[in-house]
Amino acid sequence: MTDAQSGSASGADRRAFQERLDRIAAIFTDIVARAEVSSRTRCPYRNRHDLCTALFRCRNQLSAGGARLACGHDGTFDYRSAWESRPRAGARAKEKIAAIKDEAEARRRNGSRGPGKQGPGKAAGP
Amino acid sequence: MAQLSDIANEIIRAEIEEFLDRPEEIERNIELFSRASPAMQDIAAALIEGDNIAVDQLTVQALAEGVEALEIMDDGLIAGMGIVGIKFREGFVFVPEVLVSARAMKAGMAHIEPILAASGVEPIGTVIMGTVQGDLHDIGKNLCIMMLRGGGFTVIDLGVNTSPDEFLEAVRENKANLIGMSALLTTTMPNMAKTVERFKDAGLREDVRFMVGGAPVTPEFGEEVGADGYGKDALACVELAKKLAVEVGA
Repeated sequence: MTDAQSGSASGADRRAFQERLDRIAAIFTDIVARAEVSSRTRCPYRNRHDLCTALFRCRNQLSAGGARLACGHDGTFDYRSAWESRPRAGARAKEKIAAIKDEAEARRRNGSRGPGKQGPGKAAGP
Repeated sequence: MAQLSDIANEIIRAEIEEFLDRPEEIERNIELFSRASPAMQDIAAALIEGDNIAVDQLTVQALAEGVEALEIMDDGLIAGMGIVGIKFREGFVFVPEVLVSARAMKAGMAHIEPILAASGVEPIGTVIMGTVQGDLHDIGKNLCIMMLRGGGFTVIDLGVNTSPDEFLEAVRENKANLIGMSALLTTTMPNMAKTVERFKDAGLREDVRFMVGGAPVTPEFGEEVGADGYGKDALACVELAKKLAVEVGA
């Protein structure tokens, strides 16, 4: 048993552990850097069996029998717009944020501390 | 020189034989696994297969039997994740499989973390991570979580469709002061602003720092929602979290 396991810390243990953590970080950094590149042409939700693992609807999903969904994207265009339920809503996002901030500001001016529990919660979905 | 047949675990042998192509990597992994105990090989194999329950149990068992934490990290967890990284690089597995293996690694590391803490390696801070309300996209967030954990943070994952109140409750429960919000839809991005406003309502805005990210999110948008920083990807997320942790005294 090492000093660290028995609870009495030593500098050597700390350095040894930190070295391992740095190695883990290096493996993950490499993975993430590659994921960024590969995700431009292959949807990150598409697994090695070409099945879709997303929890949401996507226009590239195809039935693969039962509840399984296959990914129907061929890698030739940016698939990410397929995730948008309302692709033209982008321009409205800023207006919506301004309204949210104004409302909150007005509410705070009127002395209310908050809107209470918001929205449908996790169970309801988007 | 060690041989493939010196490795006891059948899964590890098959992984090396089937997926490793570069001679130096084959040699290095045969050396590594042939000197690893069968129990460590089992941990690595379970991690490669993404079996978080097995990794959890095997790690507990190994520690109970007196195996050193460093050995579990070297010959089990890191060795297994190294193979996953190679398979990902070579296109044998993809992001979903990597994340399943990362979850398995987390299951093992959960038992190592108290030992790390006892040796003086403390987490940098606690980050509350979630995809905002109305949004079910989770891969970007999960990659950030993987990186943050690898980078030394404790991460509380609230999952997808996270309401402003859920962020607030998690911050209170975990005494966290870093929050990461992800959105992949222009229609759900405004819910980042709602969350920031909810913290203002609760009088907690000054105690926390908000990070935002997601494909349609921009630095300008981050400023508009009132966030403290924007991360363009999981790598930037860790750097930003480290900077904000210093700022907020995490």
